[in-house]
Amino acid sequence: MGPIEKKITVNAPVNRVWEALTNPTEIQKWMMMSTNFEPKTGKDFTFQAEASKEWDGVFKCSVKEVVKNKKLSYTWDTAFINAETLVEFNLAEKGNKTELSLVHSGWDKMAANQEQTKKSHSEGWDLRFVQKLKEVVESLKPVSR
Amino acid sequence: MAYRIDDVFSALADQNRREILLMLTDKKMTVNSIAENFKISRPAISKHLKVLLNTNLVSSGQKGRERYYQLNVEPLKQVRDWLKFYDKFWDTKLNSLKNYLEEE
Repeated sequence: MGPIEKKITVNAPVNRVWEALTNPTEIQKWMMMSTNFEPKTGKDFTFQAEASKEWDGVFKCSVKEVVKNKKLSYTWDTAFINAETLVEFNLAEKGNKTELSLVHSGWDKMAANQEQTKKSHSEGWDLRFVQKLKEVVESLKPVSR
Repeated sequence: MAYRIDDVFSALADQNRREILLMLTDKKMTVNSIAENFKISRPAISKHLKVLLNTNLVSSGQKGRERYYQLNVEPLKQVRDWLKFYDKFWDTKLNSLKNYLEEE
């Protein structure tokens, strides 16, 4: 499974976009509630979405890379993923505007992690199942985007 | 039959139900032939089959006096759609970021 890639141009200077990405009060305005985010490498934090019966709505994240006005990345995990996927924001100054790109990768880890889960016999999908699932799904028609 | 992605994940979250689905990837089976592969009781297997039937992961059919169960791939497509969910998620979030910054 390949990464999800997005690119947008925002009509705001790069330092303004950076602020929106890294200030918890601002993050909440467009993303989700995060009470413990800090733009520091190694900082563990959470996003809280609306919970449902089957899902606690919590995204567990950890800051990986912080380059002011240029790059921010954090890991991204929640129930049903059970793996550390990676979310990367890259900022590029385009005059008074900012080109912001997002890459959400690491989906293959979802399957890789199941092997450990299987060994421990704990909750989660086992590897054999995920592989079979993959075969079944891949034999279906490709996803139209 | 209507089913929700959450219910599908819920149904898949159980080890025994995953084992049952795996068995059914190759062939149709009766509840007895499924139960032979498990330590848990036949009624317990029936209960798991009911969950799988409710989420449409499995369908059943009658053949003579025997009831057969078979895998249904349709809900699994939704699992594949998980990526499509995130694709849309980020579209929405980035749009909301853009609006937030440009409407100041």
